[in-house]
Amino acid sequence: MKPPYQQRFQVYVIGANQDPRLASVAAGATLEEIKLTTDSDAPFVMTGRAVRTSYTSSLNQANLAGLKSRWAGPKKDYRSESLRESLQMVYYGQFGNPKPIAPGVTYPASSTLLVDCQNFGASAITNLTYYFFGYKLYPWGSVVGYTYPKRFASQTFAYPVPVTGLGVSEYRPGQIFTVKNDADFVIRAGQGPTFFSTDGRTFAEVGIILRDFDKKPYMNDFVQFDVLFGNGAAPATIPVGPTPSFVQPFGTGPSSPGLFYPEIYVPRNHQLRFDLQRSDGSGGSNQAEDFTFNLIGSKVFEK
Amino acid sequence: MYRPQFPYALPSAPCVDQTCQYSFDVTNLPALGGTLAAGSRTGRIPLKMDKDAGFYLRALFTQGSIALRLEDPNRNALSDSENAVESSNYEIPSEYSQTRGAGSVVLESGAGGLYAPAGGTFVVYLYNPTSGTLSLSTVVINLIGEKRYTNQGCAG
Repeated sequence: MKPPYQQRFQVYVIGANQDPRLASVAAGATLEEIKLTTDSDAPFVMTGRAVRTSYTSSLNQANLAGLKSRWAGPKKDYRSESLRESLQMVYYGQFGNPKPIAPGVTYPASSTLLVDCQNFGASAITNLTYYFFGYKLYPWGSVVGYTYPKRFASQTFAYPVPVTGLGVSEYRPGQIFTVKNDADFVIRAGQGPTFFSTDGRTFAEVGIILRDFDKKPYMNDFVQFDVLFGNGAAPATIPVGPTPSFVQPFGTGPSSPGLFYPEIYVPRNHQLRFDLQRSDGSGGSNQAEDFTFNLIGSKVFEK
Repeated sequence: MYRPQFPYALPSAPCVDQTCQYSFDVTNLPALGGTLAAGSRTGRIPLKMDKDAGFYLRALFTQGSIALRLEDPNRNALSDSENAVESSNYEIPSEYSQTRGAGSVVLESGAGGLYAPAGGTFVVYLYNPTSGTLSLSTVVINLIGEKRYTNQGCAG
């Protein structure tokens, strides 16, 4: 059955770029009315949530154990009291596994995403970022929405996307992903690079903005690879509990990849654009790094 | 931790599906008996299916840090960016086929999965993306799916 509106994958990010107070949330601090105005072009249905902070040098996010937060619907209607995020979400919704919000919460165009947070931990939380996953709703035909031909065959396929020499603090806009000429490609999932911190060399803070061929973005700011996609060899340890024990992610990776819903359909010979940003800085022995990320889905052959 | 999948239709009588897992390692794949130098690639390594029934490949998982590229029995690559840098056309296991202790990696295709006729052959190519020599004996490739048995040759 055809849904009443055309859906388009969307992630809204609220981080230090949206509210400078999130650059460092001091121990004991409470921040109220952290706001983001949604885009004016379409309503947004939120179906998932994640939260992240910058890694420490030992690749953990220990300070998230001290984070309480609450979020509101479009009428400033808070959906809970402040709750510990560590007790709400597996891995804080990271590694491609956002906390499901069901049923989804619909925000009208130009409405407000609203969050309050409290750091009751012993240390500041650096670059605290909230991610709201979901989809936008458009009248049919108002935005480009390629889809399957009437008769087709499909075959599983994955595109490894190589990135060469991304500098320690580099912003690299306008990168191009081109689908081959033999078949359309429908993107259903993704996997990101393995982050590491060894011998003073750190590769841990890399984000992406994915755009359609018209450069219209699927996210309002950079989404870190370990939030959007995750990785099968995730090095990070995640604090669990009020006096945190640190555990490695279990069951993440290609067997439960970061999903795109709705999937993104790209006809053959067509392109997507993406921007990359790395913010590890020049500390230690940091250097430019090569890596790949993987776009996973199916080839679609018209019959 | 939820992965939606497309349902596959059951076969009609007299065909019967039976879950099947092929596991290839140094004990049954002689090509995995050696080593692979940093940055080196192997030639094509055939992964032979049994002769008693056709096989629908629906998932995989691998062990080891060797990058790989699979082809189905019709020589269609299952991943490839066709980049000029040949080494970037292989899949790194942590982004493609490695699991962290749970499940397998679903390969979604129409028509019941990736079909190999009885005695058919998938092909794998290996590449060492690390900076040191790797022993291929650490590589395990598991192909998971369904065998389709019939007494009247209905598979396919």
